[in-house]
Amino acid sequence: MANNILTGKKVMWVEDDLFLSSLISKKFSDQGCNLEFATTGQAALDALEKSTPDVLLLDVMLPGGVDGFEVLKQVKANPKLKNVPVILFSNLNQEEDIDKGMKLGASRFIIKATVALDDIIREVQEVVSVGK
Amino acid sequence: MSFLSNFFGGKKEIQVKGEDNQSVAQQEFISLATHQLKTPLAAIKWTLKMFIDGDAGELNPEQKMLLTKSYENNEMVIRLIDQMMSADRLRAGFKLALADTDIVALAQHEVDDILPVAQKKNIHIEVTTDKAGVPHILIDPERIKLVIQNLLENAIKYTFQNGAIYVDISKKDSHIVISVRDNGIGIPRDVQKDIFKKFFRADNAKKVESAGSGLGLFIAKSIVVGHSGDMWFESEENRGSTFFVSLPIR
Repeated sequence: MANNILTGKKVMWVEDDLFLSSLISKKFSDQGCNLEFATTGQAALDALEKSTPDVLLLDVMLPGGVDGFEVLKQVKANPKLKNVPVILFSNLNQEEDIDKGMKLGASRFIIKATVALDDIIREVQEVVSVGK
Repeated sequence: MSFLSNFFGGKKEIQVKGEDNQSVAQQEFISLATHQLKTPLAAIKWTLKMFIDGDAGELNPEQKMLLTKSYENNEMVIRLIDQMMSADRLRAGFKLALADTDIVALAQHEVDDILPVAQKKNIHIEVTTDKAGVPHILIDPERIKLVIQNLLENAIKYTFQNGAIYVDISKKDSHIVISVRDNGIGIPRDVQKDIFKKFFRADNAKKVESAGSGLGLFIAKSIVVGHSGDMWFESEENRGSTFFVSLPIR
């Protein structure tokens, strides 16, 4: 198990694709993180009421009426959660979507199909070390 | 994104008009379709990379080779989807986020990034510029980065082992001219008029590399023209090509 900046950190991953989540789970558990999952925006908001992660990884397209942008908006409006760094993930790469995410307060906007899992680990390490 | 803060200062936006008035609904449909295509491709990409990296156990050389080939093909499909979407977005009109940019530093950065690829074919890349210095210009650095990337990728793709590529950035009157010269396969005279057309690839190019969307130069030229610049080339089959990008100083 790697002893690095992510060891012992609480990472919440919000993604409705269970297969992608299983791949991410393996990579993050190798880093020694405590990984928590949610598959809908509402489930993520409910979980965030109970505990605050060190970093929130948030898919934009989520089922159930509460998408990643809405979760991000509510997180940044919550005094308890507003300083949690949020990384948005999507395969939408219209400039408007990226602009929207960054204006809502995302630390990063990552296009899933263009990055490797190791790149995601590096981005999360950077965000956690800087705190935003 | 952070490296660009070394290159530019404040930003301003301009809108470049498209060829047709694509409705918001059409744009959203294409964006969603792209998303739906890329989601399973991301899953394939991540899975194959985990296999190749040994995360699911050690592979024998043949397994690793086959999976690596699959990974590369998957990357090609992802890239093709992105290029098709870029080409469609350009047709509909696009925004330029102009920023005061050190174009020499931008070009050098792209050369440094692509050097490992060139080194695999033992291709030498040299960058030259005006000794008197090249002024900063107002461009969309992300988009011009794509233009330079495309020219360098093509130059490497279509130049043989031990070849050479020369990149020059100079001030010519009221413009900055970037040229990328190679000593590769060149472009046959009878197809030179088609080189900037969507999906066009010359037969000699297809022989060197069968895969390729034929969209790269179309996208690059659209970006340059959107900057009120120009893009052209000189080429001789079997001798090489030089592509020129001219951008107004403002």
